[in-house]
Amino acid sequence: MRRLMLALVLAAASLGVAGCNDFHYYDVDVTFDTSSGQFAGINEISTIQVMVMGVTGADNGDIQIGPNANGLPLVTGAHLGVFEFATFADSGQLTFVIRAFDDATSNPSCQTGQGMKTVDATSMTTNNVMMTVMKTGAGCVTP
Amino acid sequence: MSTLAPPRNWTLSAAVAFALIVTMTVVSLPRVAHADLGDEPSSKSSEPGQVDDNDKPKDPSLLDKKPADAAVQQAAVPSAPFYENWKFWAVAGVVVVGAVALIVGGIYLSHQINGGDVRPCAVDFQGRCFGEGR
Repeated sequence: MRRLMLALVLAAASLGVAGCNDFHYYDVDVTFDTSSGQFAGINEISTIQVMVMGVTGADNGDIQIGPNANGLPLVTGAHLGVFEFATFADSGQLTFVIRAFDDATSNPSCQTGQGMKTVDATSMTTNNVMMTVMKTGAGCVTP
Repeated sequence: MSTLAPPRNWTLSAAVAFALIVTMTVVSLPRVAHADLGDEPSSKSSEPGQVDDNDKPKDPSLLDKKPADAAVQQAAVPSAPFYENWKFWAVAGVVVVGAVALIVGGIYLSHQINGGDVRPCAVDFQGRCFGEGR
């Protein structure tokens, strides 16, 4: 009986410890800037074949989307959608950087846009982040 | 004239003394004879006497087997092998099931301590999910 009680106490303690290692999700909603001097509408945005998002700070990670996958190329509008980053970090800061390439590779000379956003890591399960991709270069495709 | 004391007084004292000596002799003589020769005492006594022989009791009931002797004799009989005892298999089964439950529970607890399962990537995100657990 005493051993059973000890096992229950350990299980409860383990569940309590588990609360210190919960997943936190950062949903980064990416939109291209189509204002004056930025991307010239869907005609230019649709030339983007690869995008790379990286995370630094309290946690690290990266993902590459495309070509012809994960929503690329974008065919309508300027709203790409959400990148979701999962982490155990609940303190410090997270910096999200996204780069857009109008080539099938992530050749730096073909980078045409970039966005960056720094947020505080929180204990919330889901954190919504809005990010805008600004035009940074001509890229490799001539419109 | 005689110088001797009157014979009546001397005879009476001698008779009394002689009677005492005879009485003492008669009373003490059998005990002395028994101690010397190993004969049975004539009178029964509740306490064991010096001549009692405990190694060879004359009472037959003393030679009968006691319950303790029977238990010892039964224990000396070889019993069935332990694996033919249902209690052994009951205990072994409980131990095995407990060990398996402990391992599975430990794995589950370890998984929960490490954050559990990451939530699935939403369909709307079109596979743009990354980070811990992915």
